[in-house]
Amino acid sequence: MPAGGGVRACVAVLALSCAAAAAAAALPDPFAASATSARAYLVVADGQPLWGRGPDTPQRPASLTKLMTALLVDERLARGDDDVTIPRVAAAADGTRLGLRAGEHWRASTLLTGMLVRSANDACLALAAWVAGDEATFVARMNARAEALGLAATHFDNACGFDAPGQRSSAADLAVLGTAVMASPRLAAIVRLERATLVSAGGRRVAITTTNALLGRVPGVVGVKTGYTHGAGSCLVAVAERDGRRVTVVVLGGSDRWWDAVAMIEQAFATPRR
Amino acid sequence: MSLPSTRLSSLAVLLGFAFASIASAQAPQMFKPGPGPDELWDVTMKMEMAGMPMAMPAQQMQICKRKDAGGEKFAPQKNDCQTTNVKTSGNKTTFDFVCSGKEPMTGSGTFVATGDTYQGTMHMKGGRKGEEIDMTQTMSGRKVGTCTDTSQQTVAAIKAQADDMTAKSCQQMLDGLYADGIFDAKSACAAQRKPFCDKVAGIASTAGTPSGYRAAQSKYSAPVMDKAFSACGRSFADTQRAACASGVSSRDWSFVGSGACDDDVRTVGDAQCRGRSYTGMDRSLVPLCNRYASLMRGSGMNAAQGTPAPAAAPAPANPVEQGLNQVRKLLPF
Repeated sequence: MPAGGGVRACVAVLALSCAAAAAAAALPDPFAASATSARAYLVVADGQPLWGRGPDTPQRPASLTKLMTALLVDERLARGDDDVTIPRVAAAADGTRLGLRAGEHWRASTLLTGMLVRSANDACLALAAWVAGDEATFVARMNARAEALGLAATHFDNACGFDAPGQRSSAADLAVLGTAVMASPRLAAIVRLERATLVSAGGRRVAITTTNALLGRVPGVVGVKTGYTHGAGSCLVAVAERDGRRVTVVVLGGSDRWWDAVAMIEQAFATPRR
Repeated sequence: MSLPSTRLSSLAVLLGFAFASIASAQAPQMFKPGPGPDELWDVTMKMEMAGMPMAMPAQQMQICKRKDAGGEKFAPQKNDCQTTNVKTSGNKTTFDFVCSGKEPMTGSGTFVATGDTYQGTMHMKGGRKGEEIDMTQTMSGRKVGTCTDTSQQTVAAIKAQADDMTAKSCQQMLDGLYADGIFDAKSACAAQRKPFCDKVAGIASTAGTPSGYRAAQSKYSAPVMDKAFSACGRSFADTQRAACASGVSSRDWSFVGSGACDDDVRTVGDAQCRGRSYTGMDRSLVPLCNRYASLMRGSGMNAAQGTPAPAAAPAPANPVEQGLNQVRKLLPF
């Protein structure tokens, strides 16, 4: 199966489940009236949507963008892991960063860990350049992949999630992306890490801790990614697994994403298995 | 009924065996042939019934007759049969019998016996499921050796096995704390009621703390314990409340937030969780506050802020379906 085939399969699974889930969507939403300040959210249990607010409405995705970046990097890694020379533009990245230095050498797989666990923008930009030569070309591939996946509310202006007029996605699209990431053994193994020590080719060590506060705090949480920008607010895609059940929660534009996500996960697991 | 002649007494027992064999032809052999205290007989029995298109084949079998068996089992081996008009002349005996019950019948019989052989005929008339029955049974027997009748031991073994199975089943119910199986009015495990309630008392004495409750819950679910306590006239809720109170006083938030103490979570969570930053709070509080968030947010209360969260924008008619429809439209299936 080509690298994209697994992703399409994931979307197929989710969409088919959704098609069969009209009844599930009829469950009263305990968060609908006032329980969360999130601009948009979606709760999916065992592939079936339980509750949502504006799941198709385009929002700023912040660093949840890196889910798509990770998918493309994962596909490239399937052809081999390389030493990546950190470009100057990556070393100068804004926001959360590992502190990569221009001209330094890092394994691509190590940068992927830094990008997903710490949401590091310098690692993100370095990987975009490694995969496509430059960020603009990489972003074009991201958009092509989004279109191929049928993510109608999704468009990217940059690879890492900075606020931009054309940078948008929806809770439903991000649930699909989160499912696709969890379907990749390599990515699933990374997004569940609470901490890691990254080592450059030259032996420089960088210790990182996850930005996902649910890991280690909420039983069963196994990923996946956080995001925050001033324009987007706090964002999160989380996946939790218990007793053979899987719950996916997407929160966009929340001021209380952790409390929201905890309540959504617990209440989703409290619903009867379907 | 006792018969006057020892010879006839032996013969009558054999007749009884013959009747019994009709129903027990497939029963396991309950004797050991060979040297032994009892008598081994070859028996042949044939039955003819009026209206049957063809004769039934003769049945042959070996029977081990206990040496000390008496003649009281004479004639059909049914509780509702009475034998009358028994007459013995030389080695010949005649008799009549009447059976009541579901298959009433009347009949008469003649037997001729020597020490080591017998021959007999019985003629019976009666009704079975609304149909008249008229049959004649002939039988003959020959003593061929000795044997040991093990039927009593076999019956005893079967009873012991059944008793053992019942005991094991009752022990399982006791081990699993299944009140229904022990306190049911027709339960064969009624003798386990006291040990069951002693066990419940033991649990009640230790489960009033988080560690004791956890230990109990690792063996039995809360509903099972609730039923067991109730069967023994105790309140599981009281024990649970005691464990929760102990958990709160010892700040065992992992236990308090486990789902057994939601009343306490609502109360304690107001003080410990409300208004806190999720990432900034002490890790020991996480189980308590996770539970608090789950309970309070689901009811519309903003747990972190302690105030009702701002009302959301009016939701579309079916926002989940609308959003995902968009995904579906773009998929090639």
